[in-house]
Amino acid sequence: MVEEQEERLLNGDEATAWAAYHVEPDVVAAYPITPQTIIVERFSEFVADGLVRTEFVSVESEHSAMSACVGAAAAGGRAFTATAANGLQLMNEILYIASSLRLPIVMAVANRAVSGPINIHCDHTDAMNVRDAGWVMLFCEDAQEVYDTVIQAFKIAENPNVLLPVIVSFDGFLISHTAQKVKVFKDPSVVREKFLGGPRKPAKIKLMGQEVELSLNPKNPVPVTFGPLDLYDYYFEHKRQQSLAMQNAYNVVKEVHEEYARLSGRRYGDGVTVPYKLDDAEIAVVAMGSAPGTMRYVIDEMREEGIKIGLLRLRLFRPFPYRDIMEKLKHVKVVGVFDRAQDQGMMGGPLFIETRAALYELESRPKVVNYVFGLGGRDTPPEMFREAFDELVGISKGTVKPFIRKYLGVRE
Amino acid sequence: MPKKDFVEIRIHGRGGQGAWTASIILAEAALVEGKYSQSFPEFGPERSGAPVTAYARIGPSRIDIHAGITNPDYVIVIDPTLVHMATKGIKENGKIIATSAKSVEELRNELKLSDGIELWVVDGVKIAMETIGRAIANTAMLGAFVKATDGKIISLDSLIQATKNVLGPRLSEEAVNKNIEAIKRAYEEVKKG
Repeated sequence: MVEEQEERLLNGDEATAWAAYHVEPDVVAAYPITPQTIIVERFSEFVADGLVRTEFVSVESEHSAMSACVGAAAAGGRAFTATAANGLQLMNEILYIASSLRLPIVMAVANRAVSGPINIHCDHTDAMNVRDAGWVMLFCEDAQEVYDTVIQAFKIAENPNVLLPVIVSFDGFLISHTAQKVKVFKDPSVVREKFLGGPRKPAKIKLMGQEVELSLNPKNPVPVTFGPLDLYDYYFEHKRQQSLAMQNAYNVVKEVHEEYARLSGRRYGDGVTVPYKLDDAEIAVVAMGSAPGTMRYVIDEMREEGIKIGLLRLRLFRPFPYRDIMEKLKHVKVVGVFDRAQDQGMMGGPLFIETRAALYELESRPKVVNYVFGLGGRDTPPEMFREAFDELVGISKGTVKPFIRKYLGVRE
Repeated sequence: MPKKDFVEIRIHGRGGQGAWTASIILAEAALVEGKYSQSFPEFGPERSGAPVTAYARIGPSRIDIHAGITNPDYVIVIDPTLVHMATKGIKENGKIIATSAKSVEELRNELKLSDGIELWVVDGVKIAMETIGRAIANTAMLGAFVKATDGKIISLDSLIQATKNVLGPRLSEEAVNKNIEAIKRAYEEVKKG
């Protein structure tokens, strides 16, 4: 049954703060950085107004923010933070520790270009820089999806078959600072109790013949430690387990998405990918973040002209849904992959490389080309995508010579 | 299925004059009417006194476009010294709603407007001084906008409700009421040319 909701005008940052309010984590530790700052501002107001009993820790850096979250989560708590760009880079060391300790921390990232030169606007380079840190990564298209996804992220992270931290990404300014109609649950207990089942319940493990809670709980009959020295005797096995946990996350993302949809009435594809007019498409574009919204207008326009073009939006980036990509794109002739991230020294943007690698498995492969676009917040108007989509049509007809990578909307 | 049935609005002001707030009130008014909307600032650091721009999209269906507004249907100017910025990229049949002590005719000549563009002028700053007591014409100019668009984008009632919703938590009840007075006065006094 769909639960009662109310409409509010919220930007992506505010939607994140509302999600955190409705989740009521035990600990929020954060350091402000544009374009994420509104999240922390709003959430601290919720704390000050007594709407949540969260321990709000104002720290002196992002490295400390993530470290505090590690401590809170290791103690069995539900921990949340938010950051962007250089803040995320400063956390990098602790990101790997959080995932290897299997701590279900949730972090919102308002995607922003990484300095230098200093730029506060949107691109995905910050998130791409941490794509190998062992975090589950989801990319949202708008503020409504941000609210929904931050709530889902806790349930994904805390699933006993996953126990991995989750990043929820959304485009800086384009989403973080753009207000829109967002439906939020009227009663926070729908999120806290009904969906999440009350406070976090750390997994139980067998240790020295006894059942103990996987946390730094002093009441454990046998003490548990987190992050001890782990050399060539077991390190590899632990990394292998982490890989399995990441594989498990794929199904859990889908299940949690569906379970949440029953409460909210909202779905984003199957929670992993969001196809648009792909079934009979001959040309497909692949993208993440807010750009797919704009792209749908262009696709509609081209469909009216009789051009068979469709879109595959990736909502889940880690674990990378390569099987979905193979399945959804196996019938198309040309694929254009749109990367809003730096590609220096690489064959193309990260999304391109992985999409292309996935499609290599197909017997009959489409042509796959890459566009790098929108770096540092460069505007992404429909006309710009139209130009690229027309080029993809040209490739499908043999009138445009295929290429590996191009830069869209840049002065050469 | 996205529909391009929304209008695009650009607001010019100076940092501290509430251009972003005005765009939020517009978007909130759309919400009051059950419509869809977006509100966003010129993406960048905000500086008090420097020219700033804010934007809004309003329409009857979902708005999925996530890009800047370069060809607005409507331009609202809340600082008289920025009126020269109003024409940039405006649609051929667009409308400019500007605060100015000048007459509509005088301003029309000054801006060298093409025939298709409607100009609506009211001294929003004077109204703001007389109602709110500060030269902050953002809410007044929203009243003028509603008149200029014949209440078809948002109605006067929705604007007043949205102003209460947005400013209520920030200002005293008295200050909110003064803003509503400014809205009503500008709605009555704005002139078309």
